[in-house]
Amino acid sequence: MASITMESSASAVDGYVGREGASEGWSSLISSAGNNADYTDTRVIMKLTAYSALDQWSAVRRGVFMFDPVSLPTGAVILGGSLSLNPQNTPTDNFLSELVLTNAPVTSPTSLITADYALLHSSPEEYGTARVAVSSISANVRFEFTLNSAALTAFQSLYDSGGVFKLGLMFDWDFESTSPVWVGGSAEDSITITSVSGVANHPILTIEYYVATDYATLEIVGQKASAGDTLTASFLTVEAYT
Amino acid sequence: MAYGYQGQRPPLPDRFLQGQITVPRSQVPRALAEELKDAAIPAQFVSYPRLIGVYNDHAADTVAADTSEHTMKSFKFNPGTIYSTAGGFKFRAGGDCSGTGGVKTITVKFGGITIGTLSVSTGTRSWLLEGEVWNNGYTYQQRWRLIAYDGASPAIESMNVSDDTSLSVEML
Repeated sequence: MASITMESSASAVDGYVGREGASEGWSSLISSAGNNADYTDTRVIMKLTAYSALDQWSAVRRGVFMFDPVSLPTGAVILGGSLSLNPQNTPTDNFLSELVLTNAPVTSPTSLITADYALLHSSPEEYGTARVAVSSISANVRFEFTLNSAALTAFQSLYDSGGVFKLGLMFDWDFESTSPVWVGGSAEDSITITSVSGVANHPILTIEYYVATDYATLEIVGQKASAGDTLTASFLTVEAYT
Repeated sequence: MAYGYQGQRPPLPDRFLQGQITVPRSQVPRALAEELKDAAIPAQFVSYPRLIGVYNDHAADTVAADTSEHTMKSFKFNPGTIYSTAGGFKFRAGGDCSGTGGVKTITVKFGGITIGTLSVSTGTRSWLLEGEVWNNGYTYQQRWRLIAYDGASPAIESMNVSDDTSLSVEML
């Protein structure tokens, strides 16, 4: 079983979509239209914010991480994977929240728009084998999600069809459509995740795979430094054992 | 039927007794034949892996007159060829090169993954590659060994195998 890592780069899009500046009940907050989207920042800032009035809420954000699987070899069969994220801060855990890795049926593989906020909540599907408690997150200590079978099946389909791997990140209250307990005005859980290209702390998607039978071809490949030289293979002998 | 078999004649190893090639096994008493068979292949040697067969390609393939990569030889394993988790294959490839325009490289790939590359120094050289590949308890996980002769000193070169964790191809 082989593995490759995909990192934030020109071929990856990381960001968040959110509904912010509101004063409304939890159900309205998570089911109304989004009004914020950003995929150009070098950070993905997850946010869950209470409003000053009792049981009113002002903001929630949903993270998105997309990776182009172009580096996977032809015929790859995906066996496993994980997403590793690096937080910049140690968040306050006002709401006893957990982060949930989800599907991300966003509009485009190269950008994020406010309409994606609703798409992330339209039919959320958990893509991690376990959730990460906000209380367990510490600044500059990576945390990781292991991809579950639903994610692996979806990724295989996306890979086979030339699609981009998309992952969402949601607070469990948002994912479950259950209101957290309001603990006071302006209380906030905020987690800043770095998504900088080319440095050691970017999001990393690791995919474990093997190459399927139909592509099990042994090749002897030649290359010359000068076109006028000659290079010849005279024979190939293969002894197979089972 | 001749030799006591239904259908086609059996393969040679099954038709003749070792050391007595004029006597087909089927023409000796059954009990003796079984005894001889057992004696020829002790039980601890009859498990996997076992040789399926040998593929031979002795046609000369010359790289085109450019500086791009070209597949000189290839062999595709059909599904089911190697079905045991202890299976594998050995291979040999060889040829020649000439010209003083620089180094030639011969790369071994499997399933599109580069296993190792031999660099042959400039001039008229002959080259030989040998390798073996064995499933490592899974049909999609292998271990590799490569060795090469490049016509220069030292005569025999060990070839670095790329990161072993990246060399997994389903052989089933």
